[in-house]
Amino acid sequence: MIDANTANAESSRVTHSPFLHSGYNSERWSQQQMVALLPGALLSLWFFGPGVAINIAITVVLGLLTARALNGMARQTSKGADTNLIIMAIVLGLAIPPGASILIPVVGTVVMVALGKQLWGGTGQYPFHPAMVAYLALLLLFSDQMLAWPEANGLLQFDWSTLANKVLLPNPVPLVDGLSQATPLLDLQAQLDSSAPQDLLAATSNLNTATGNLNTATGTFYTAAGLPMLLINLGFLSGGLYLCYTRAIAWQAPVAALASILFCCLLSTGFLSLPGELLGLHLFAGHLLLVTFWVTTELSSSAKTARGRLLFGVIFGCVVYFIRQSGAVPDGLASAIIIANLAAPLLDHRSRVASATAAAQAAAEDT
Amino acid sequence: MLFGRRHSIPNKLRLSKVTGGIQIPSRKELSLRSRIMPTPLPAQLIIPLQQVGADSAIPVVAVGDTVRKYALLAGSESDAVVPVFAPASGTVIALHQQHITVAANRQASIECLVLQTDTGGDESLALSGHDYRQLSPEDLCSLLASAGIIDTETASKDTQSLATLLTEARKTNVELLVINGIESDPYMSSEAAIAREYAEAVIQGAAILQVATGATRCAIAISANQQESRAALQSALSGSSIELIAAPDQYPAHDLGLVIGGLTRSTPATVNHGVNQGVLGLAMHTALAASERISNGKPCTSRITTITGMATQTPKNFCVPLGTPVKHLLALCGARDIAATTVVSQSALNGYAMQSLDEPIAQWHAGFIASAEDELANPQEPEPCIQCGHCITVCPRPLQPNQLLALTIKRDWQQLQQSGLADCIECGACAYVCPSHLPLLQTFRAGREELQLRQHGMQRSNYWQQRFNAHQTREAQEKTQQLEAQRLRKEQANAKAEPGFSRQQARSEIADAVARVKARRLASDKAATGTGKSGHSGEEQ
Amino acid sequence: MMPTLLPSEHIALHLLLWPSLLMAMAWLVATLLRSSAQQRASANSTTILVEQINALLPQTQCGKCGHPGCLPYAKAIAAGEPINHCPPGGPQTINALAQLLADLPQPLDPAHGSHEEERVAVIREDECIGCTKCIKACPVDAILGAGKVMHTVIASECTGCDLCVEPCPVDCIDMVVVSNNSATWPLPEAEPHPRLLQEIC
Ligand code: SF4
Ligand code: SF4
Ligand code: SF4
Repeated sequence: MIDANTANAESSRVTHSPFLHSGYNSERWSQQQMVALLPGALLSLWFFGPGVAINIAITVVLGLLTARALNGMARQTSKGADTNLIIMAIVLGLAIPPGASILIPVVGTVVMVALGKQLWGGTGQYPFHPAMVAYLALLLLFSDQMLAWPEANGLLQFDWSTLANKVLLPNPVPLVDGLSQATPLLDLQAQLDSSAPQDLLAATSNLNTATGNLNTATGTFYTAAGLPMLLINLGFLSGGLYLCYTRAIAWQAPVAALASILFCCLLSTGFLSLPGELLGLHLFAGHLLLVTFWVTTELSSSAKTARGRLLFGVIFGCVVYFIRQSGAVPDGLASAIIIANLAAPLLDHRSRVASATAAAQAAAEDT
Repeated sequence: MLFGRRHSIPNKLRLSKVTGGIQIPSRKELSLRSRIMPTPLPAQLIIPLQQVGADSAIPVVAVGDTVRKYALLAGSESDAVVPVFAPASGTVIALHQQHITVAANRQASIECLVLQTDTGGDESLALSGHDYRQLSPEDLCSLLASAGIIDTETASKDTQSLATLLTEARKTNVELLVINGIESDPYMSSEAAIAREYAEAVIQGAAILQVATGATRCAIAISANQQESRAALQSALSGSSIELIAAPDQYPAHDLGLVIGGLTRSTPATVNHGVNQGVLGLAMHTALAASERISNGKPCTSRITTITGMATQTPKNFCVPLGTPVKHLLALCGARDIAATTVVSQSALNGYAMQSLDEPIAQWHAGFIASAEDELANPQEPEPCIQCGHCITVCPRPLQPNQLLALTIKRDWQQLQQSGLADCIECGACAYVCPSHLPLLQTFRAGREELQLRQHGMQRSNYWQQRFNAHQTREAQEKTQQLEAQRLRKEQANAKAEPGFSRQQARSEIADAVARVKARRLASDKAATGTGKSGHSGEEQ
Repeated sequence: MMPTLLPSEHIALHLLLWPSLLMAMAWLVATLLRSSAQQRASANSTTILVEQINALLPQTQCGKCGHPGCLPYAKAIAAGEPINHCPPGGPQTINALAQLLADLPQPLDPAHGSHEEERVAVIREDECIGCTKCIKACPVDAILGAGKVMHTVIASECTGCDLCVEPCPVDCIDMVVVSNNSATWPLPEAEPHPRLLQEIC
């Protein structure tokens, strides 16, 4: 009988293969994610004022604290777990309107960590993106505030005297200029309700672009969203492309999502012309790019196989377009993510195991 | 059936990248700097007698015998047992069981023969070679089968005796013979070194094997990034019908199943080195050994092995007599402080750490890495799976390692079978990329072993059940037969007794007769003795 | 131009309806599918259950559980007999049975014997008197021989059930431990990291 564990045991520091490792770990991963979020987040800060920073600070700090507390209760240790949580918290912070009362990010964070994540068993176990679950909950609880985005007039013009008011008083800010975030989409819907589809392009290009210096006269697609949102979203786009380039995220889901939105837009004009304004509105007027690059590629709740990711992106893109065009909800991102999350296990299961069984069958027949 | 499922082999043989796979910075240059070096003989050679399968070769020499180089040491009548020849002249000093690491994390107690080498050790048998063109395929096969060659897929996953493979290949009429010289491990360079320095012999060996197997086509596959080796093979191949295939620079391009799957553009499934797909895949070492056997008559008693790693001063490839202890070679490379070094065998990705450096080098050893302090990654404390899916992306087979891990930990064997754990080629790519440092490869090895044991146990208990059922039906049959026989016998007995004779009847007849006799006697007594007697008898009545 | 916000109740209603309706539908479909599958399974559940149990028993046919063979014991388990009566199967079988039947794993009932290493019967051939008693006892016909001549056990067929030892009038049958096949040496670290177990499960 051999005692395989003795003999030379002390000297073998390295005990099992592989003896090499890529060196990639979750800390590196989240560093990359944060770097990629930086341009978009900074631009948001610039245009929307310190409310953005307040939101992010609350979601991140409170998120970590809640996770710590809940983990303590469940007697779990979590090291790699937190890095992922930070990214989700930043995404949630960016999705909350900057003028909102601090109650909103607080509630959102607790919902995100407790109901979105820990309830399911924590890291790697949750089936729905926690930040999107929290976002939906906030939309339900505070729909007025969540849809009221302030004027994007930049940090320099920010009226600091109102800061105290904003933080202390849960006072909805009825600042809607038809330029930023979800509101152009609301406009679009309002117009769609009253006008025939062929007026669509006219409707979208009529949107006021008071603060953006670019005028809609040119009718180019990016002006539909207004300059600040365009710049912010370009920030997210560059970050997302960087992530794809460094392979921190898989390209399949974002590409499929954007492609299917493009396809749907083309479908609306019967493939006759490129509906520039409509596309611009979809891409740049809301959070689409942030969600596309940071949420559809989330680890636990999204698809994990190449084919599954493509399908995931397609489902997400189509549902977003569908909800935005015909649903009563202005920005269907969170709902679309939840729906795609529902489908994710199925997508993975189908695309990967089917081939495995085919291979196994072939092998069985051969032998 | 075998032929029905065969995939036609394309005219142009080409290897494209497998799905998944990883890029690892190469460290082959370390050992490729110098040429292949012959090994000065160690004082003792330890020769394992069991190299493939479950049976050991039977020694034909006894302790105390002196043997000459290339003399037969142990053999067997079975094709599946590989004969063993003396790598050097010397004296047999012991025959004993020794622990040998036969595969990653698997040790076995194997019968070994210890040979005390002569100084020089080259007093050899007189051997003569042949020209393979003048030999029939049958002769070639029998010569090769008796040469003690085993064919090893890298990392000794699938080790087979050449003799069985040849028989198998001839039985199924393989079309294509692939000499697999691809090494995608970042350290090992023995195949590249062979191709670089023995290109002619390799090609001759390939030609010999092609004749012996009866394959219509033959190809040599080698990593695209080994420029020198490719050039050497290319120039040696001019005018030959053997094709040269460049494999993409990717881990695990070397896996024979993937190579054959890629060449035949079919599902990568390798059973018996691909024989079932109309292809036979053999290692480059096998080609070299085949050429030595036919051209020079030499049986296989050595192999080319890489000794590398930062802990060695002069890493290089050695031509090693089989049975040389690992530490002898390490010392030759100037390894510092051997006792404190981790020595990894076979591959940095899916090899194993040597438990003892006294173990002998066998035909399945591709090489050894003596690692310096920070050269190889220390295992890190695993964290929970974050479901990042990197492992799925890099897995060369259609598997989801993250799921397999969870299932293995749950011991859900049925589900594991369905999810294809058996398809895992144990390449370790998944564990290489896992950001949570989960011991994926380790777990899959244990799981696969357990799965195999379970399958074996299942087969056995099914068989027992069949036997028991057969036993029961047989017993039931015997019982009914017995009963039947008994009934028959009774009936026969009854049938014989039937005409007129019955014991009861007889008894009553007898009783009747007795009564009649009594009555008659009574009557005659009365008549004879008169009244006195009759009064008396009347009282009695 | 005045942006027309939809009334908030209206929006809230839709926000609530959209995802929750879809989730509810998905949940409903999943549950329906699962329950119909279960119903189909329970149609002839006892036979299937007996088959499943029987597949987990080691099939040595030794009768140590008190039943004449493994299948009868499987039937008895399906009818409610304790799962810890099989000594050759040992803890492994008990655990597997417990998992199948959603029962608690229990230690082996010592009344039925103890779990031992795998063995096969070997007849000391020069002592055998050829009485054929062992042949009759063997449940899998693993013994070869005829009246008054020497008998022998075919090792590869023997289940190691012990049943032939008792009837032998001259005690010439030994149960020998099967030597560990060197080719299947277990892994030094078969268990994954223990911390993982707690965390992932
Ligand atoms: S070790 Fe197995 S599961 Fe992991 S990458 Fe290789 S084949 Fe896939
Ligand atoms: S690579 Fe590791 S952490 Fe990522 S999914 Fe696979 S097992 Fe989980
Ligand atoms: S030979 Fe003896 S121990 Fe083996 S199966 Fe038959 S009766 Fe049981």
